[in-house]
Amino acid sequence: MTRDDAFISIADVSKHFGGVKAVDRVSIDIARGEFFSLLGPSGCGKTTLLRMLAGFEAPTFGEIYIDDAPMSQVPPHHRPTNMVFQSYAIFPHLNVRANVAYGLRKERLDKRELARRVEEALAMVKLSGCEERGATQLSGGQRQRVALARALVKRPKVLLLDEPLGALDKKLREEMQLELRSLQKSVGITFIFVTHDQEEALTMSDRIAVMSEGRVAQVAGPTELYERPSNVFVADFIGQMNFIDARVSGVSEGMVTLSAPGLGEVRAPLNEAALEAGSEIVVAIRPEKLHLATVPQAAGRGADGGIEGRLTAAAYLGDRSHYYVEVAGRERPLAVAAQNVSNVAGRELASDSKVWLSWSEESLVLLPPG
Amino acid sequence: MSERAYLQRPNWPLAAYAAAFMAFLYVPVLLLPLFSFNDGLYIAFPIQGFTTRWYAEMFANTAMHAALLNSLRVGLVTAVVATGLGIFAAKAITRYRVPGRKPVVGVIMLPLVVPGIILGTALLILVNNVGLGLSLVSVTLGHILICVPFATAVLISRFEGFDKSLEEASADLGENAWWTFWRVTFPMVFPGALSSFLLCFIISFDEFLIAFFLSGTDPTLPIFIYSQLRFPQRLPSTLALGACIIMVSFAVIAFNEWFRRRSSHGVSGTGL
Repeated sequence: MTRDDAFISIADVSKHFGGVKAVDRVSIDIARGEFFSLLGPSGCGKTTLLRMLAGFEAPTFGEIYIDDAPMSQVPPHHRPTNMVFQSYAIFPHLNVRANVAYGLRKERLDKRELARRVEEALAMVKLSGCEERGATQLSGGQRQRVALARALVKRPKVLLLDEPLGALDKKLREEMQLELRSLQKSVGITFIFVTHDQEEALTMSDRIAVMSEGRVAQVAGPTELYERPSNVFVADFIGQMNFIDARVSGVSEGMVTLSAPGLGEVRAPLNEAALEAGSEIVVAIRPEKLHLATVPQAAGRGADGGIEGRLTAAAYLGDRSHYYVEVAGRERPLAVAAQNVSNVAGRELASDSKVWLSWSEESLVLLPPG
Repeated sequence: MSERAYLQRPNWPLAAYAAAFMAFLYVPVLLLPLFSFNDGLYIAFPIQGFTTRWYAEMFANTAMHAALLNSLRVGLVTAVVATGLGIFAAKAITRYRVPGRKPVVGVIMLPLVVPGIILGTALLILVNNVGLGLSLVSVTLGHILICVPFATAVLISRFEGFDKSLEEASADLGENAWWTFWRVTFPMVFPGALSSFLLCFIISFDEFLIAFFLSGTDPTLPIFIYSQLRFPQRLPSTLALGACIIMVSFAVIAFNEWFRRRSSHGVSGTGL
C-alpha cells in the first residue's frame, strides 16, 4: 500500500515515558474498512499506540493522520475514533439505554430519533430489549456488547478495540470473534484491534502488525505471518517453531542448500533472508510440518527415508499430540505435532522409541540470524 | 460436636467484652437524654421524676435559637466549600501526574495534626492582622481549613475506587472536560461527596476551639452551650438540646450509611 491511499497513517511515531521508549519509530498505513490487529506480548507498546490513536496519549515524535488530517492537536472528544476499553468502562450509574445514548447528546436528536439510533445499535450487537437493564446487572459478555454498541452508535470512522475479548471465557470468546468479524464486514468501519492472543489475531484480521519492544516486527496478513515470518521473533511468537542454526552452502534456481546440524544437508526455498554461500542463517520449521513415522519413510526429503530420531516425550492434547524428538547433532529436541486421526493414534508411541522425521522442502523457512 | 462453622461458634467472653465496649461508648451519651427528662435542676441520681419542661424552655430560648441557626449556617457553608475543594484536590491527586504529589498531599492533610488551640491562636492573629475581624465569616474560614483534609481523604478513596477509563470513555464519546465532570465524575463520586458533606457539617457543628477564638458577638452553638454552663438553672434545657442533636446525628449517620450501601454501584470505594 502506498501512503496516498492509506486511511490511517501512523508516520514515524514514538512515545517515550521518561527514559522508556514505549513506542519506538513506528510507521504503519491502514486502509479504509480494514480489520487491523496490533499483536504482541504485554509491554510491546500496542496499547500505547492505540491510546495515541484515541488521543489519550500524545506522540513524543511523529504524527498520526486519520483521513489525511493530522491528529496531534485534536483532543479525544473531537477525534473520528471511538474505543472499546479493555475494562469496557460501562458507566455504572446509567442503564443500558443511557450508556448507549451517552455520546449522542451533542447531536441534539429528538426523542424518537434517539430511541431509534439506540435500538439500532443494540440490535447490531444482539442486545435488543435490554434498554432498561442497569449496568451492574450485566454479564461480562453483555457488558462487552454494550461497550461496542455505545461506540458504534457514534458511527465512527475508526473503531479502536483494546483487548475486548480478554475477560471472556473461551467458548464465548470464539463466538464473539466470529461475531465481531461479521459485524465489521457489515458496518464497513475500520477496526483497529489490540490483542496479545495470536490465534485471535489470525482468526479475525485482514492484516496484523506484530510488535516487540515498541517496534513493529512485521506487518502482514495472517497466512503470510504464519507461513512466511520475516524474523525469528515473529516466527516464535506466532505459533510454535523449531529453529535450527545453519550455514548456507549453495544457492541455485530459487533453492538454497544448507548444512543444518540435526537435519543434515537440506534444501529450502530462497527468500530475502538468504545470502551467499558461507553465511550464517536460521532455518525454521513448524512442528506440524514435520512428519513422524515409526518406520523409515520413502516420501519427503529425498529417498533416504527421513532422519532418524529418538522420541523423548509425548503430550496428548485430544485432537492432536505433541512429540519431542531428539536427533543426532542437535542439543534441543525437535517439536513435532500430529493430528490424532484415529482413536488410537498418538497414544501408542512409547517414550524412547525410534522414529523417523520427514518434511517437504517448501515447508522450511529461512530467517536472518536473530 | 457443634455443626456450626468454626468462626460462628458462640464465644461468651467475647460477647461480654463487646457488650462492655458498647456500654463504654454509649452510656455517657445516653445520660443526656435521660437527664433531659429529669424533673430536677441538678444533674445527679436519683432521678426526680419525668418532665418535658426543659424541652419547652429550650423552644422558648431565642438566644439558643440564634446560636443554633449560626451553627447551621456555618456548618452548611463549611460543608459545601470543603467538599468542593476536596473534590478538586482528590481528582488532582488521583488522576494527574502532579509534580510533588506526596508533599502536596502532606500539606493538605497538615491541619489534621496541628492542635486546634495552636490553629485557633494562629488564625486569630491572622484574621486580626488582615483586618477581617471576628465574625461568623472568620469561623467559617477556620472550619473550612480543618474540614478540607477530611473531605479530601474521603473523596480520594472514592476516586481511587472508580476506573479512570470511565472518564476516558466519556472523552472518547465526545464530551469535553466540563461535561465529563458533570455526566460521569460527579455522579460517580456523589456518594463520597455526600459522606464528605455530612462529615464536614458535623465537624463544624460541634467544633469549639476555633470557634472560641474566631467568633465575635454571634456565638455558634458549642460556644453558646459553654457559656450556659455558668448558670445551673439553664443547664437542663441545654441537655434537652443535646438530646435533640444526638437524635439528629444518629438519623444523619443512618441515612448516610443507607445511601452509601444503596449506591455503591459495585465500585470498590468506601465512602467514609
